[in-house]
Amino acid sequence: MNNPLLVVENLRTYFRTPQGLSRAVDGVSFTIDEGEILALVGESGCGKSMTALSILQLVPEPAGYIESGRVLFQGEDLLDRTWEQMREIRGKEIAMIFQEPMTSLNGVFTVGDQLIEAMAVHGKRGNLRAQAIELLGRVGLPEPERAMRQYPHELSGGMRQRVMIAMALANEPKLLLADEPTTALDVTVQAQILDLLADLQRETGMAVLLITHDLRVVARLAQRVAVMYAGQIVEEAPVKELFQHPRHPYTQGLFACLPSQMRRGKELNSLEGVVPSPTAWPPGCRFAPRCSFCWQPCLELAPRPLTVANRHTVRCHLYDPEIAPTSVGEVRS
Amino acid sequence: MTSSPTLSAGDFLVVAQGLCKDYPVRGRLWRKQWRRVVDHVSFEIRRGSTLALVGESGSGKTTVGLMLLDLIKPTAGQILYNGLPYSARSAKERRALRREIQVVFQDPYSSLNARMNIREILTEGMVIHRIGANAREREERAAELLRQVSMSPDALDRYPHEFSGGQRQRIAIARALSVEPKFLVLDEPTSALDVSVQSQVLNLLCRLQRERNLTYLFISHNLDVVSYLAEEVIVMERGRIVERGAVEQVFSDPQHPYTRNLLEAIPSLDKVLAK
Repeated sequence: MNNPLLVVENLRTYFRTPQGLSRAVDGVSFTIDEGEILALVGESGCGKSMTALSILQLVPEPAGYIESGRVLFQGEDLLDRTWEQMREIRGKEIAMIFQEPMTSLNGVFTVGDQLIEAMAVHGKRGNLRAQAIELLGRVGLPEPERAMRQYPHELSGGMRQRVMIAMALANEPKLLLADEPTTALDVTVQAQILDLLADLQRETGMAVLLITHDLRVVARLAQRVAVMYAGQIVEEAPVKELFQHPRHPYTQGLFACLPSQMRRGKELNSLEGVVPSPTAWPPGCRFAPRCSFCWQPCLELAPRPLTVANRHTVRCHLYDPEIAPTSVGEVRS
Repeated sequence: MTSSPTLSAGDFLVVAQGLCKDYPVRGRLWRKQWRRVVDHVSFEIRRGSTLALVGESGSGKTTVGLMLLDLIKPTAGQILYNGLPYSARSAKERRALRREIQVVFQDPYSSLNARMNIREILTEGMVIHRIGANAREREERAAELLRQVSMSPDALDRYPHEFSGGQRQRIAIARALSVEPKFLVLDEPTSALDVSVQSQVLNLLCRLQRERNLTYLFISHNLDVVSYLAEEVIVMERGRIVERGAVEQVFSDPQHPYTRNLLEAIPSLDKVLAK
């Protein structure tokens, strides 16, 4: 533990659009240790998926490109790699699963063919068929031999996602990028898939970057969580710490938005306003236009990441002793 | 059948009695086979209250919603609205019923006609049901509806694609309200939305229910949303009701294993924060 497997430093992924330069990922830094599950949380358009795609150099070109930053995987910068070299890494060292397993699987090949191909491409030898059947059994498909002969459309959503996971695990990756892996599934199936990911993570010791918008999924699976807003990570902490002491006004706002039995009859918090456009992030703090604690420095100066507790960093002026009046800081914490 | 002895039949706006729905499935040659997707479902919805229908995909909850909307006919059983069965109504009365019962669907991207501007979307129902004396009056009503769902009347001349998911869902709600309904079928109205947008839509639905004494059938698989919004809940599994009762009771003391399963699957926020 505590050996950094992936270090992302100041990653910036931009898009050229007719409306101007869109800074979708704008200075994202985080670390995933070996065998760790880090959740990247945020609402649509915050840049969380694009962060994952940038790690694998899968940013849609030519509109999108990685402007700057470093993606150190086992100490080596992936952004220096060529496309050919990246093909060796994708699916082998770093695998990815997506939200909609129907579109990620090829509809005209059987599950078995696709699984065997995924292994053969990365140089796996031996009885691949037997290995594929074993994998399908391991991800909980009830009849792995039969599933080998089936086409994706013959499987339910949950079963397809299991096939995707089997494919991702086929080459024993060290890092799994899971982009909303359970969002399209029924709740009980969601729970099964999350448990499966947790089991596999324990067995294989792989690390997981879990991308989700659902804080309940985070609570169930992750150890650490990073909250993204407007292309940046605004808060990062161990899961329990973040859930018990959210510091950033955006994180606090998100929690207050969630409906629950205890909030019956009370009006839910709604974050007023909308997420600013990535072509025109506000100067200063990007959350400032929607923040109820906003004051002068927030509009002018971009906040820096500050450590407020053990392994807990937050990007907000309220916690900056050089900027916030002490009284404000005390009130907030 | 009645959930509380102190309530009389007049307290219920909608009563479903033994609803069944069969769909044809591919069977052997020359033989049509039927599959029962809704199996003897009965419930009552009190005026001004919210009944939640909970279940996973394939549980038949959307089919129940479509039958209440009179969009598909039940194979067996009947639905009483204001004490009178749908089937006992004349064609004219059924049209009037379509005005009183409205629907909001899950996906605000496909439920609004992309070729109509917001004015047309909001006034189409009024024209059909002869609400408003003339075009100007209908337009005034449309502008007022937009204000009610916290949107600017400037939106009238714009098209659905110009709006975000949350805004579209508010337009869809405004459209449902445009014909002054009494009963809304809400089929997963917030599951395609981000949490901060979901909270806006939920606040809106609560406010509208209070102000207009609307009755809701809320179809959802999100138990947190259900426990926040509904008074009573029905849990469906494979076309059947496996559990029903007051939200507090079902959520704190689920009787059926399937309900327990659902509740344990994804922990609610209350439980996570209490940990």
